[in-house]
Amino acid sequence: MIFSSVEYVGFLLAILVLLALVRSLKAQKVILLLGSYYFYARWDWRFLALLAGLSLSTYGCTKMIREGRDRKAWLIVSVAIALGTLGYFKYADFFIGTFIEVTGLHMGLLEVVLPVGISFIVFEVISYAVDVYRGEAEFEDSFLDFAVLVAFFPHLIAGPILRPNHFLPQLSRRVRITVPNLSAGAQLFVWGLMKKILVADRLSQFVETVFNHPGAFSPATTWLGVFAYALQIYGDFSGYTDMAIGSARMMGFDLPQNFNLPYLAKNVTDFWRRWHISLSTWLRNYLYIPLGGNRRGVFRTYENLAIVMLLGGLWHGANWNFCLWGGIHGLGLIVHRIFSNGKTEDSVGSFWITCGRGLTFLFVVVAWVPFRSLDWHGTLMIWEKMFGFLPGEQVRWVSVSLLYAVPCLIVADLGSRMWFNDKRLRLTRFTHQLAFCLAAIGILVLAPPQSSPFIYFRF
Amino acid sequence: MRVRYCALVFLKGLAAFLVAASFWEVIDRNFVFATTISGYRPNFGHFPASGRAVNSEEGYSSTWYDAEGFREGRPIPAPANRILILGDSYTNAMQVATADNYCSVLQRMFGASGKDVWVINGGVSGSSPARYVNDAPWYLSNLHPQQVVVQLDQLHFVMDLPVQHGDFFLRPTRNGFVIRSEEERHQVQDQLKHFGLGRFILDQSLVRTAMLRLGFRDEQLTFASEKQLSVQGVDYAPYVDWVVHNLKKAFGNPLIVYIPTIDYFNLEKPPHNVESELAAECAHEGLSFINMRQSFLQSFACNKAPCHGFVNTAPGVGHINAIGHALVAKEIYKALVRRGTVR
Repeated sequence: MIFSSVEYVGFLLAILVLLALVRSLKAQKVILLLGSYYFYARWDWRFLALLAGLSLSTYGCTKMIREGRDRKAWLIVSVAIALGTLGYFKYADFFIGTFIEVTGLHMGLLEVVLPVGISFIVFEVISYAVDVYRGEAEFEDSFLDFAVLVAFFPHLIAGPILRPNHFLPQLSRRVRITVPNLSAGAQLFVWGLMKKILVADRLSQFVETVFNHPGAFSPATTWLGVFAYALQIYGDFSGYTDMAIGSARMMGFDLPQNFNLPYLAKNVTDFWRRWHISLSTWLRNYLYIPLGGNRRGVFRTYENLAIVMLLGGLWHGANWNFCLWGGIHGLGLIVHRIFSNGKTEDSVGSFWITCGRGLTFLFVVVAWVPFRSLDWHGTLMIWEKMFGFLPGEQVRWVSVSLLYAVPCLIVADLGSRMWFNDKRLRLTRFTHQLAFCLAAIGILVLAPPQSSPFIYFRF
Repeated sequence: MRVRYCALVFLKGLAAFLVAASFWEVIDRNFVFATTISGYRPNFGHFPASGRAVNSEEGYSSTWYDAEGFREGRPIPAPANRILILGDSYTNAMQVATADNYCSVLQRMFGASGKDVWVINGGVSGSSPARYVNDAPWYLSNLHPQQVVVQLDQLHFVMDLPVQHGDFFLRPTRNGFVIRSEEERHQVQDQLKHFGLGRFILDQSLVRTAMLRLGFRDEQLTFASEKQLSVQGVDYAPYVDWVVHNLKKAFGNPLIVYIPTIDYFNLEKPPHNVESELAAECAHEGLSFINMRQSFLQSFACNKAPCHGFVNTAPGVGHINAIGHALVAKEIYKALVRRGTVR
């Protein structure tokens, strides 16, 4: 059940109706929990036990932390269970495969099925356990509330990763289905749908062809394919997030912004303040700062940045290509830190800021290659093609999909940016209703014939 | 007071919806996707009835069909040599502009060499060889072609003939095959004629586009039942034999043109065995056979541009593009001139 399907719209409407009909807060939370579990079961019911088990174990461990006995030990147990689960389901076969390649031993893979959204679920429970340990979040007595935090369906599969002290207080007041919330949520949902369907889905066919045949295309076509992927992944993931935030808003919940025009970042550090904000915040709070952050000298800071980005890359998928992607970004962060040491943004002229934006965009686009490529070989071939190191016969092809996609992305991004700045359509006015209807019906008319699954669902 | 306010907001919303839907209806029908209401002749099958059609999903074209269902149909000059080209969506070619369609290119080639020839594009999307055979009497008695060209492709043999979901398919019997058509579908279409508005909405309007986008299949919108057989393990040779034998019986000495599916990025992949079986059977029956594979591959080797695929889809995927159409026209022209059937 993906957000851009008729099935999801029906499911969301059913949940909204049930929440509106039920008066008791507890019953509303039960509806949210059961609805979320049903949503997850639609992917694979077998992993419901995993979701419930992780919620239960974290709840139990944090309860012990709250009671003050062996707090650190219980934190370690809680994090170990979460990371162990992630390690088994996501990385076991990866490490076994690497071991086989290195040693040449004959061993079988476990062939474990990857539960959808496992990385997000694990990060959610870890952040809760650590926050309770640090005293940054209060232990939630109600298991029901905690289970809803973990399983809340708009963010369950691909985030945004919620801070417990941001979301849990929202569960203490009764859900009210109001016209302003429905109107605001529906608007963001439509902007997200536009990004997903008119940008990501439109570009997917061209991107897939270029990346599946890395040596076949001319440098210009390869560059176009890589640019198209940069737009596709942004449209796909930020579109998903907008739909998640919009769905939550319809129920009266506030989820944090996850993207803020990342391709307009002035430098790599700025990019990570704008791209997948909830993940970069998580990595900073629960990995970079515990490693020492920038408090232990220059070289230790660089080391920490590299470690965080390598692990952040590996978090995306059990593949060395993701590590390479993380490593490139880590290197970018280090280089930026070296050159910007002591300089403030005010001390740099607008010309250099514009150059910085262009260079950062180019850097990010080139770095997407290992993220999307199927393997090392493909990554190298595409880079060689892009920079003219791979001569030979090649297919020249101009994709006009980019011509459709770029204006759609600008309109949708403008719409969602205005939404986050509280400049929303007032759906009681005719002109605003007309704009909303034009956007919603336009998506159906201009949609490509085939849709593709959300990219981040794999993670 | 509150009820009045809510009613007013609702009415405004309804008006906004209708205005937006009308706006997109106009855009959709003129620039995005528009089909004609399909016509149906008893014992003939469906054909695109007169009207304008727009396709922007794969390539782009905006065209119209005459009352007989022929693309960009014009009065056919009586004394001209007539070449009837039968085929499916490769020939109907909604992916390319009319001028780039191989029938039009062929017409221009004959015109440039001073030959008095009229090329009739008889392509109907979704057609199968069973349909060409079934409709042969109508074509021959109404159009009187001097030469018939039949376009075939791989899907005819792996999908259209063995799978019972088209207008015409083959059903195996003890003595070979019989042509069957999906009667139920025809009946539903006939019944729909009595519900003009409903038929318009489902066949033509924005609602159709929206429903297709939402994942409904074309067949579901016309309420047709779909009886699919498994095509796994099908021996294609009997189908090939039947097609070649019956095309010869129906049209005398048709020219067979085969448009292959090519994986341009994996050229070592062997062609489907339908190709070699078709070539052998045509030789056996004494029919001229053109396989476009070599031409397409040579063109690809020289220009590095696949003959399949469009700028709004992906290279090498789907139907043939303008390059492919030009090559098909060239090969048919050469074959017909060599034959001497065209003066």
